[in-house]
Amino acid sequence: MKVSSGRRQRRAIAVGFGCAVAACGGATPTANAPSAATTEAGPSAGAPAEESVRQVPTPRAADAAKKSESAASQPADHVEAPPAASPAPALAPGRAPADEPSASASPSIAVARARADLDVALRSLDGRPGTCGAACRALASMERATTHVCETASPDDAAETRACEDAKRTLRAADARVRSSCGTCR
Amino acid sequence: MRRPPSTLPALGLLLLAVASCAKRAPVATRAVCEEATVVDTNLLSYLSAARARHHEANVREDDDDVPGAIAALEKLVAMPRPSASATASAPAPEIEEVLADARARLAELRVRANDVEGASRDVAEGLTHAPDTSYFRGHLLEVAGVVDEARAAAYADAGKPNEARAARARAVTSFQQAVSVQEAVIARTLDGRVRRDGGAP
Repeated sequence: MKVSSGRRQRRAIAVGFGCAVAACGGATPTANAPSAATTEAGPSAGAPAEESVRQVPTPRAADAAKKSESAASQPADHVEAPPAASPAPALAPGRAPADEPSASASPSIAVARARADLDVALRSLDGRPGTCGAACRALASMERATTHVCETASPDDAAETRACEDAKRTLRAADARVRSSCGTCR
Repeated sequence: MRRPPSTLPALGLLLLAVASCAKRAPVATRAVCEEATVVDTNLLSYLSAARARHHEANVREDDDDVPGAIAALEKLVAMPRPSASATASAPAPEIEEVLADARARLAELRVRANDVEGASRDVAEGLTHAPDTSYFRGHLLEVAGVVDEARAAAYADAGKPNEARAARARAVTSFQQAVSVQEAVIARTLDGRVRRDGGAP
């Protein structure tokens, strides 16, 4: 729930910027420059959202932060191509000049376009690297699961013992990875 | 203690956007802004109500009132959801995350209340709201393991070692899946790579 607050804020921020950019674009020709809108929206929308994710984990993630024990796991099944990791979440690239005709043609089409632009922008924000709050939250969940695996595993059961060792190994690797990118998780 | 997120910056920007639209935008552009703002306002209202329910559950938990905390979260998952907009074919991801997270918390509370079967149902329901690789899915798998751990203990106490062993094995499997999913989430977050888990337990 509190994770979604980060996304909620991103969405709200993106909507705010989208509306502001669209409004300015309609008012003054010079404000139509898409690159200006993009540079404004990128850092401004991203920074507070990331901070919010870091500071406000989900209820369960808050518990995770309290219990930090280390350990590691088994590899996931396959790797997919990344979702459009383009750095610039262009809220309305090339949209501003088209505002007048498309909007006058049909408000519902304009709304659909605006929403599509917003979705693209939000996906770009979500997919951008460096969201340490999300990584730390996932790491905490890994730690809890690994602790459980090792507590649950019977020492007489070779498969369960191996599962514990695998989980510890995976956790160690993930921990190192998060530390190298983000430093210490709070 | 769980802290709620601050929505003030986002709300402030929304208000600025509305003001900007009202004063400066052409009529058609204003319509775009108004609709987008209305959609987000509904979503914000829902999220705010959900957050209030979590607060309520926190207070109940602090008072060791586990049934009260469960009741608060049951109200959360029963809340009417903002209707999907005409252009959106799927429910808002934020709502799905709220529901997945609430189900995970409900399941943990039910385990504490010795309602293992109820907890199991919550996990199953929660997983329907988190079908893809995500923190929420990983967390639900983690809770699934906790539920089976509790089940194994109950079987052991009842003198049913075989059932206990089977439940423990399921718990280990769920924990392994949770580790894999969160590993994938970390990889995706830090590297932009996406992996998928082997499926729901």
